[in-house]
Amino acid sequence: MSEIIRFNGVSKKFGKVVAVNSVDLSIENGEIHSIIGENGAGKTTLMRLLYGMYKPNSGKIFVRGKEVNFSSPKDAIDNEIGMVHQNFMLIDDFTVYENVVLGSEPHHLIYFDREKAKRKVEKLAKAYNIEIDVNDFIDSLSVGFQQKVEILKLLYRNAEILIFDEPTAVLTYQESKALFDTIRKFKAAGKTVIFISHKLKEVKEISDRVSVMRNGKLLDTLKNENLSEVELSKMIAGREIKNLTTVSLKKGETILEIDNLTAMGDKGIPAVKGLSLNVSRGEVLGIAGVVGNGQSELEEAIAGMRKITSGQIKFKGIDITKMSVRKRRELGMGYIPEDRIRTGLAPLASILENIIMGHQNEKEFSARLDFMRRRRAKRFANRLVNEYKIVCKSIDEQVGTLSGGNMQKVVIAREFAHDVDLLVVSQPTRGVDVGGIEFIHKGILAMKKSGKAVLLISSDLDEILQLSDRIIVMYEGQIVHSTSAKNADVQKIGLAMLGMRS
Amino acid sequence: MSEKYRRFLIVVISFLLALVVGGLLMLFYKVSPIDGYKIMILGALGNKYMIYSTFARMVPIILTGLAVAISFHAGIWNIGAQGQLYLAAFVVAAMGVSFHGVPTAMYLLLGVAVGIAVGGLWAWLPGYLRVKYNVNEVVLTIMLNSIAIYFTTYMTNGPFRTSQGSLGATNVIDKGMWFRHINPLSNLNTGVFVAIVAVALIVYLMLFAKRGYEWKMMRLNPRFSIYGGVSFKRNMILAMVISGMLAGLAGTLLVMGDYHRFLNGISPGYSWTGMILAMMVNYDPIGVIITSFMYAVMISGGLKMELILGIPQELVQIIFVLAVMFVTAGYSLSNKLSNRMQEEG
Repeated sequence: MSEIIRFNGVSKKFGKVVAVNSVDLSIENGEIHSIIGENGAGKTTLMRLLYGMYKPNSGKIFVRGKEVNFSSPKDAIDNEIGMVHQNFMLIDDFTVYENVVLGSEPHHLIYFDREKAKRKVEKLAKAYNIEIDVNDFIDSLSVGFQQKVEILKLLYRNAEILIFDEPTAVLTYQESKALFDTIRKFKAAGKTVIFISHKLKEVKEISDRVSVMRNGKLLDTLKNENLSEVELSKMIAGREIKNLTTVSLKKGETILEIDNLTAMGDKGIPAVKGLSLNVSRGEVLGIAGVVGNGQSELEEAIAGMRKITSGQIKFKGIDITKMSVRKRRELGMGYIPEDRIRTGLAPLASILENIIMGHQNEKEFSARLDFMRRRRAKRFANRLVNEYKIVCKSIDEQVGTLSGGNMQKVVIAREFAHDVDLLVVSQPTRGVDVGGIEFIHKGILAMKKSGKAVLLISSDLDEILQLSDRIIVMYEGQIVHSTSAKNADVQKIGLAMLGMRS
Repeated sequence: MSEKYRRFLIVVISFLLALVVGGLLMLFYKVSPIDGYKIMILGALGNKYMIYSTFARMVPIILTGLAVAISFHAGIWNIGAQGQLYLAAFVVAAMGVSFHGVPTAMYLLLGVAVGIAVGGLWAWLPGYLRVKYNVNEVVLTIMLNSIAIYFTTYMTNGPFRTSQGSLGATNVIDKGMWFRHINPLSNLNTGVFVAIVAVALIVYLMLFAKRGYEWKMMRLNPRFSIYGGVSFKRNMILAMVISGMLAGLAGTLLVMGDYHRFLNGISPGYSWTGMILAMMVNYDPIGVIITSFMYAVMISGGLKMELILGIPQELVQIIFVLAVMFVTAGYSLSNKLSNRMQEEG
């Protein structure tokens, strides 16, 4: 195989931070090359250097043996390099095919030739088994489909080298599988794929070769077949990651009781259908299930962010069915939402403003006449920033400028800082790196140990099995399987998640 | 450099740049820019009376500016300050021409209270409809502007038409309702103290109160604020109502203090000027105070410039518009620069 891309001693600094530190890397034509590392290890920066979004401070980048000096992504695209970003760049009010051809539309004289555009996009989708209706509007599509549109955009522009920046972070299990199939198709068609991830399993599954990055340095490039997951995780984190184990405690009083709860989804179709459950002190109840089976609606209903159609929610013996979010919080409910960026943060607000949210009504931070004790709030925020090692310039920095992992930490720090009786945690591992996951898991278990109730919602079965005392499986808004962790049968749970009763 | 400081700097530099361009334009009238601006400053701040006049000019602008600022700050778009101002002004004037013999202190209080209430109510309506039925408040408030303004025009040409000469106005209101002019040479009246209290309250509310924080979060991410326990709907209506109350107060003071009657042209676009000012400083109340002062100085001084140097006062409008343009350009430029700086290190 021949080399298609070469990084030669490439470095990139942001202020004093060295994001990429003299990286040497060679990528071969037609391979699937994974780059793995924790958040902030420099994976994305390295790829943005290749894609022309940043310029290196030193070092050289070669594409097909020729030194390149891209000043914008356009130059990269001209060299048949395409990148699928973590955040999509699509126009919501346009259809799929309109988005794909935007900027280089087929035209007939001066008219936009829609039929031709449609045909072209459909043909591309078919060639790579991408199932999508090109007439759909973007805002009606799930994240997984939006990603497909992004991929089609690159294919339409004849990309031969495709960069995927943590593409599975936003996808469900099935969507990830479909994406992998597509990626394999690319390989079969002779394209080169660079796959950025921090999920070991995926990297093992898809790659030909794996490069590990930590603290801006490229540690090593290895052939996939010679890799063990344990080895790899050690390399990524720079230390051993222990698998946590949980000990069941004596069950305390019941904290959360949900009785026959029904709630609508955004489209007005019932998403939670007559669900009942309870969680006690010193217990982690794990809710397993494939994303989109009513878990999001359930967590929002518990937190008070979604109206319910019928049923009752009791918290510490009090009926909170009609209580406001604020009252629920004041009663002692903490909530780490599924979508941390969209729900858990205001990216344009400062770290301080984000950390104080939900705490603003506490006596500590509010005085008479609605006065807000900003000095105390600052001290509080600074304390959490230090405690949770949130990397930032100051608490006045916008949260949106932090790295993904640090944004997560802001949410987690804030919710753990509440003195709560119940913690609702949803998808704690989504978009979080190995070290971060360990951190959250430890926090959850510490909560349990101190006698709090934890409701853990996750589509990651391993995580559920590892942390929970009891497990229930949600499918189409109902509980289809329920078991204690001790007697859990992975086979049965897996089938229940897919809606098959054994 | 902190975000706030940077914005402040941009506004100041933009105004200076606009003044430079304005100076060049003065050359067309064969006036040296230094003389021109000297007259402008003297005309606005040269002596006690001129300072009074400038402050009188500042009152409605600062109130409408803050009215817009507070609603925009909370993420609800009150484009209806003009209508709220008109309706409040008219109702207050209608009361002032209809009822006589109320003790002065009480009548003043009553007038201000009614004006604020009318402005607040006229803003509550779109706020409520927005929250309850998700009707677009921008469209609503624009339409309510027309309703309010045409209604008052009708009233001043019909039932409340003046019997004292000129058309398009009500009669002079009862003297018990007058905020007295502090000096006969300027429009500044004791109503300014009401305005000062209102401004102080708003600054407190927006910068020091918890409510101000919650409003800001509502604008930056509604979902996040709901998640954090902010009562979103109530806060949204509240911001709208306070906004309307301020606009109403502006109209009330114009009637009770400046003109002592309602006129059809009582607000020559104060609320639009206020809106531009508020947006220019990103809804920062202190910023609104500073820019409305600068604006008042320019307008006051512009009159003097026309009088003495023969430069049309429209020049001042040109300078103002240029400043707005420079601020807008400045923001995007500085964002680009800071991104690059962050990248280069």
